[in-house]
Amino acid sequence: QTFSDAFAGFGSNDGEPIEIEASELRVEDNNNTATFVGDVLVTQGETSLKTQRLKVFYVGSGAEKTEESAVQQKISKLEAAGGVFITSKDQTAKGDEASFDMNKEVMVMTGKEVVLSQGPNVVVGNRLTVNLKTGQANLSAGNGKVSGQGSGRVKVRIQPNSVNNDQNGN
Amino acid sequence: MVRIMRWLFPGVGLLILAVMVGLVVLFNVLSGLGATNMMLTSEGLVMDHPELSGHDGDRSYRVTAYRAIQRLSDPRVIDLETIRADITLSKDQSAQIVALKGTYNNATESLRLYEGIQLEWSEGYTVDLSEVEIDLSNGALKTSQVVSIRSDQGRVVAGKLDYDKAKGIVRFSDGIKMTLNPASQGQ
Repeated sequence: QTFSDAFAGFGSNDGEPIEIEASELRVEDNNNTATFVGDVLVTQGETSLKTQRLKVFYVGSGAEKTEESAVQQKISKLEAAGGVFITSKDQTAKGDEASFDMNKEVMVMTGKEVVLSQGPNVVVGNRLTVNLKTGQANLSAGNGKVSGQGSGRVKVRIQPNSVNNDQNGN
Repeated sequence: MVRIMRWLFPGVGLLILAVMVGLVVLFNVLSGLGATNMMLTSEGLVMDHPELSGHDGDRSYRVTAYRAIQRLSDPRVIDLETIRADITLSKDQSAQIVALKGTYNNATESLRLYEGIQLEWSEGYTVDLSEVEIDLSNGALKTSQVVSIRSDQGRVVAGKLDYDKAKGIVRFSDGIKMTLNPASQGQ
């Protein structure tokens, strides 16, 4: 349960405002997307995401335009590319790309090496799937051929006596 | 010497005539502007409470001002003071802009507003900016000054903005900061 609430921060109905900074933003009404480019930093509460390109898809992309005006459009998906670094309290996740499905509330991070750390403990694989609602994370290394190195197994390094510290009471 | 004068007088006469004709043309062009009364001053032709409008298809614009000064040097350019522009972008989208100063260019059908601008967009956004260039024929907006767009959903502040209505692309550049308020209505 070490990552239990870590990624819940990115759930779409969290109570805190989301701040996004970047060097440029392109909003394309025709295909209902908004793309942030250049040192993108997204922060919400204690969770933050750094990447180079963040594409936001809002409802209605492709589908017919809903009745409510543009203001009430909801974000349906986020895609981060060009290196992704997420931190939340003392937990971090680093990979090449990440996509957030806001309807299913699932994040998938992929990369040659997806590195998940919590304090001193490090887990490495190449595909991380996180349920944003429960925060439950599942890391896999896929078959060795894909990541091109290692036996396709997840590598874990746990610092002795670091896990049973008072991690929010559990 | 006399010969020169003989040329001069008719020449001067012609010149005055040209100016008179020019003014007459100017006046009835301006009457299209619906200005209540007009005075000729050193700055140019000053009109009180003028109103300019134009439309094509469902796009239309109506610009009113407290005062407008048509430059004698280039009658197509009109400097406006305390301006209100109502722009209908499409059936269900319109924008209303108020500004202290502006320049309307009839040739390029563009309106540049500067000093104390606020733009209300029917989509529920308020835009604060210090200068904006509006292409009245297709509703494209451009500014190279800091711009902020606010709505109850959140806020965006950027160094530059350009909005290409034809392609439906709004581009914020020179650094942007966006705040999305928490979704007030639950799912």
